[in-house]
Amino acid sequence: MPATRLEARALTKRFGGNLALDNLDLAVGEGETVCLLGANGAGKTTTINLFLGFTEPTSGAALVDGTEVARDPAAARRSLGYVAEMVALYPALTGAENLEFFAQLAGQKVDTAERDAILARLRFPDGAIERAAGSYSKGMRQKLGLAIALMKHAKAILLDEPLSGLDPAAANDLVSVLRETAAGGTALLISTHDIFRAKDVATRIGIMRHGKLLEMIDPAALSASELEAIYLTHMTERAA
Amino acid sequence: MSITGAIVAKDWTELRRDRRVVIMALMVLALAATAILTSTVRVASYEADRAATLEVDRGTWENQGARNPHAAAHFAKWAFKPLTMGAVLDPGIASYSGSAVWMEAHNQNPAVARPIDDQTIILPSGEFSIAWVLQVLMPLLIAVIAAGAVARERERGTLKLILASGSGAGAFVRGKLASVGVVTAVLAGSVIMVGMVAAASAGPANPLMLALWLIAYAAFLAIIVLGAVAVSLRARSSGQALLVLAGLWLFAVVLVPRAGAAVAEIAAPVPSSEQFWADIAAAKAAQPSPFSTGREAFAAEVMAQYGVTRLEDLPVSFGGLQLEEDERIGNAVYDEHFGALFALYDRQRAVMRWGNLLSPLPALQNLSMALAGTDMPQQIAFQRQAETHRRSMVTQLNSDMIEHGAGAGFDYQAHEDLWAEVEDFAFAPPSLGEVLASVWADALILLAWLAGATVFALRSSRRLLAEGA
Repeated sequence: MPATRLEARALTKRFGGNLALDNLDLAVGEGETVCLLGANGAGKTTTINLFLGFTEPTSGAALVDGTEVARDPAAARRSLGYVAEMVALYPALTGAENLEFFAQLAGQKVDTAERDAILARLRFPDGAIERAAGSYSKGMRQKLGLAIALMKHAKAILLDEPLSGLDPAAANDLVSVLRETAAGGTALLISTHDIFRAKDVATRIGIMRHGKLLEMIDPAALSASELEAIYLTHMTERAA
Repeated sequence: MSITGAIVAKDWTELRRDRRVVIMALMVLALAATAILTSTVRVASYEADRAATLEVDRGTWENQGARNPHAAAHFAKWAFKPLTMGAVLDPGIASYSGSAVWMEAHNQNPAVARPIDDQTIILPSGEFSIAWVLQVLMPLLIAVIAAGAVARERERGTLKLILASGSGAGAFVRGKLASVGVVTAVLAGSVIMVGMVAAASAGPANPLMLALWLIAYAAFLAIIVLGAVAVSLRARSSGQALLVLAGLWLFAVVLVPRAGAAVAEIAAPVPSSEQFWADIAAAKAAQPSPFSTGREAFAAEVMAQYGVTRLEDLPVSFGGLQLEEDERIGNAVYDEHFGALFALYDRQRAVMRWGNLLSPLPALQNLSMALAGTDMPQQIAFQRQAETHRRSMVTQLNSDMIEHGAGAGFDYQAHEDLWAEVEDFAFAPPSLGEVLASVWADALILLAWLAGATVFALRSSRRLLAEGA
């Protein structure tokens, strides 16, 4: 049985009177990719922020590789990689310098051969790593963000809308590397709006609404249109 | 590389590539270089003038030939306060207070160019100097650099990535403090090093005082760094942080010292120059003069003392005794009025110290001037020493007339060897202990500010820890 890397136990978060996450129970094992699907405000990003320790749970617990995040966020983060919707880089530094800086913060030294191999897998343009990150397209920034997470050799990677706004080619590159990464044993938790990309990459898909996990689906058992129908049904219920 | 080292190296690279920061840093360094040059030239020029004037003064004094000692006392000599290397670093009140006193019979003169009029001379001069660059410009530069230290990381999203790396918020804050601290140390260190080299040419200095001067500035700049990074930690954006820091700079660096001086003027008003000297003239006129209103009483007293019934029978010069008595009466008047004036200066300093509750700058300014030898207590020490020397010199000349001029009246002429026996004035600067005794309160206040800034930074850091991002 694969080890659990990410676990939510009755995880709940309130912001004032707003229930952002309601009693979430979730486990992501090594090599598994779970996509959280839902509209804005469904609780996807809140879930990721709770695993990162950027916000404290109102009740329940988020655990990373067995460590309760609220008790020791720094230890939990050491086991995590993180890719934001808009990967933030230092525009005055080159891609290589950005990568090296974040590796140093994680207490690691950059192995140039490994770095180049990861960049090649991501189809990062040749020579671009030595250019100032301020000149990068969104796709390049997302790729470099994933490269930073991969260089960390994290046990789990959290991705918050990583494919949003990417051109199809760049999105394909990222999905391809995400699959390889999961195959290598890393647990992935991805928040996304994109049903079809979720089906491409996920081993399980959770549909969220109003902070609740409504349904957990095995995408292999469904066609893309069936998955879309289920998702839209949940969204329509919301509208009704 | 440690996390702190990584953050310092990254921030340094970013700053180096930010033309705005580089241009601003170069402007500050250029201003500092100009300040060092002008201060060095000013002190060197003053010292050259002082040496030349002393030489001429001594030559003229010793070659005045045989003449009445009292005429020589009116002929007079100069007392100069030497400017040391401290004056290159911080001119303090030197430009306002004057560094030369004309020592003559009957009169305690003010230091030349000291305006005891409508301006308080205990104000830090604000003169273009290394001290001014470090006190005024450097905090502004630190504010510009530190404003974005944390806030820019937050607004562009890199703060989340940094914290997600697992480095820990504490390590991140330490890294940011080190980062701004290193940049400050490099900039301020460059200014101070060049300043020290330039100042060394101005003459010897007490190395312990200079070391303490450096420590005082290190503490002040540390306060600014801690406070600025703390503001950046709390701000939502670098623009907001810069706005807050610019406001604090205006308040603490520009407004508080000036407002403090204005309040001190109101709380302990100093008489105008005209009023001061008019009061002295009136007080002297009210005294019985041994030459006019009090002559008879004084003559009777002297004759009784020497056991004679006629002044012509005195074995000493009555004229010389009259002069000495006139000095004694005048000195008491001067002691009272200058004592009151100096007490007002002390009171103004005490009032201005309340400004330290609002800004660490007044405490630093007091420490800086004191350790550079250019503050008001040392100016007063110079004037007191010059006055003591004047009185000693006049008494020496009067004594010669008293002892050797019996019966000759003011026709008595002293031998020209007497002039060489009169010593030149030599200023004895206060010892380190005396200097520290005058500014220990400022040192404690600066330490209190340092402790407060550290607590503020720690609390701000805890907010970041609590926020997570």
